[in-house]
Amino acid sequence: MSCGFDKGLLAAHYDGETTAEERVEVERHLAGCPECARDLASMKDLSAALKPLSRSAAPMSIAEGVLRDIAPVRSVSRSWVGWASSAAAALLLAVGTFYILDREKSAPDRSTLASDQKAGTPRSESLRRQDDAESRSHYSKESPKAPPGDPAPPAAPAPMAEEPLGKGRDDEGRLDDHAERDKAKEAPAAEPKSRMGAKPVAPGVPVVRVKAADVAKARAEVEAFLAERELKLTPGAPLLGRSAYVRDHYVQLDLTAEEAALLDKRIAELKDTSTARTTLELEKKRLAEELSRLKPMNEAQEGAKPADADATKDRAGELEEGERLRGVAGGVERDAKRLARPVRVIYVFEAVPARR
Amino acid sequence: MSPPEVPGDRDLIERARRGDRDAFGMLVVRHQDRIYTAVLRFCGDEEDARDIAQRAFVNAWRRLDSFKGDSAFSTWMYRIAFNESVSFRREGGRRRVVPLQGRDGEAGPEPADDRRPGDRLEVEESRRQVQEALNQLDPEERKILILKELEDRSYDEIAEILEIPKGTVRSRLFRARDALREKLRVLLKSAEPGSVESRPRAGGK
Repeated sequence: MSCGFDKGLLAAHYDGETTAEERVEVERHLAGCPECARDLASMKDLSAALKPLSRSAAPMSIAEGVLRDIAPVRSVSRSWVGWASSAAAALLLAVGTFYILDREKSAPDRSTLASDQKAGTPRSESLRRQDDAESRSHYSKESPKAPPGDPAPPAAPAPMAEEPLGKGRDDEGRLDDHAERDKAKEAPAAEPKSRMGAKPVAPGVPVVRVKAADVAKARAEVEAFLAERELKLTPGAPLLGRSAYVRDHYVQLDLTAEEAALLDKRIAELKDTSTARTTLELEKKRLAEELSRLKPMNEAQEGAKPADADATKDRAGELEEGERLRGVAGGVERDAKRLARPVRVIYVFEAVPARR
Repeated sequence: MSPPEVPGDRDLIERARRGDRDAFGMLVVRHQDRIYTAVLRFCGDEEDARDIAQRAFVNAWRRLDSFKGDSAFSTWMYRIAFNESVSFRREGGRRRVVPLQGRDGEAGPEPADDRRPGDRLEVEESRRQVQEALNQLDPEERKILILKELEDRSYDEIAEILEIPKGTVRSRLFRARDALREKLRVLLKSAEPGSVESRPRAGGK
């Protein structure tokens, strides 16, 4: 370099990394050195030329792949992505939803809601509290302390059992107690016991069916959306029940109307993906039909055993891989600062063949 | 008991160290864009970049205990990711001829682009050219350019990531820029003779 000036210093100047004295030095030199002035201009040009290479969104399959790779070794070989796109997913979806809806039906939800109001607790808030306690107990179940290779599915409840939330059943009762304690702390003491076993469902909860050739990708899009907004994610989908596959197919979010619209748009922009809005009521009808169609198949597979309970257990093992994703894609804990009041939205993922 | 706010990296790392895979998953989701971008620009291939980024995170999970709390998680991750990129290449990787070009939109939404849609092709083409020029640099030059120009890391961070003295960051950056400019000039010249590149050639030796 002919002028002999420290070009590193020039670079530092360009990047705003000089000390005050250095800056004076560089500026003084620049005033009288066309070569360095040219170098500086070139650096600007180069930055502009590099602009098209700036940050790209990572494919969400990275996160999935990482979670798969760091999972404790299990005998299950099929990945979440694998089964999600298989035809079996549709069957699981149907069974899972039926389970939820069935619980709803048997739950004394109206009286529950009424009692909430009597207690002066806004319904959505009390729901969220319950969610909270429940998601914590979910969390405990997928705690990494679970022995690797343990064949017993940890999170599959017998579907039709009416039992209090946050109680017993799983072998880590310790953390469930914790959930109970929290609940006791937060909820009014006189709360009727029935509420715990019930699944109070707000009739207006919108359900968005996401039909995608690549379910994992669609789901990843939801996750990305949440991550971008820094919504804190917690596992569990309490409105819909607790079985493993239900959690794997449903994402339950608290979104403002604006957020929901944005998210819908984003999902719809994915390749081979469409969304349709429906309601729990309609979904229920659709599934009842589908289920009656699928039931004989189910029974044939499960032999003489009580079909539903066993199907749940068998599949839970298979689905554990998917469960791991719950931490990323479960419910949502709101940022307290958010102003617009969020509402509950349920997303259902359904695999459809790609158009190719 | 429940964390009231969005957990910070530090918090997530602590949880991950205790074996909480979900916490680590959140870290991955939070950092994957920058790590993926850095790796993508370093290796120039989307599929390789995805593999490498994934391996880097898995590696990080295994080595969480060696993470010193005095640097940022991203700093540490960049280092792991670059190392992974280099060894990936050394192992022969999975080289294919297909360069960039958003094979099937896998890279997701593009960075904000305020130009008219008609200019998209142009952007795509210049992206390809710049990447090609970048590919021709030596790995150390490529790394430092990625960190400064694309990731906008400070000299201090760059020094830490690349494990070189801060003074070296300055001089190497200047050299790397100069080298890239030269590669780009040659490329553009051979692509469309007599157009575009009318910039003065700096540092004229």
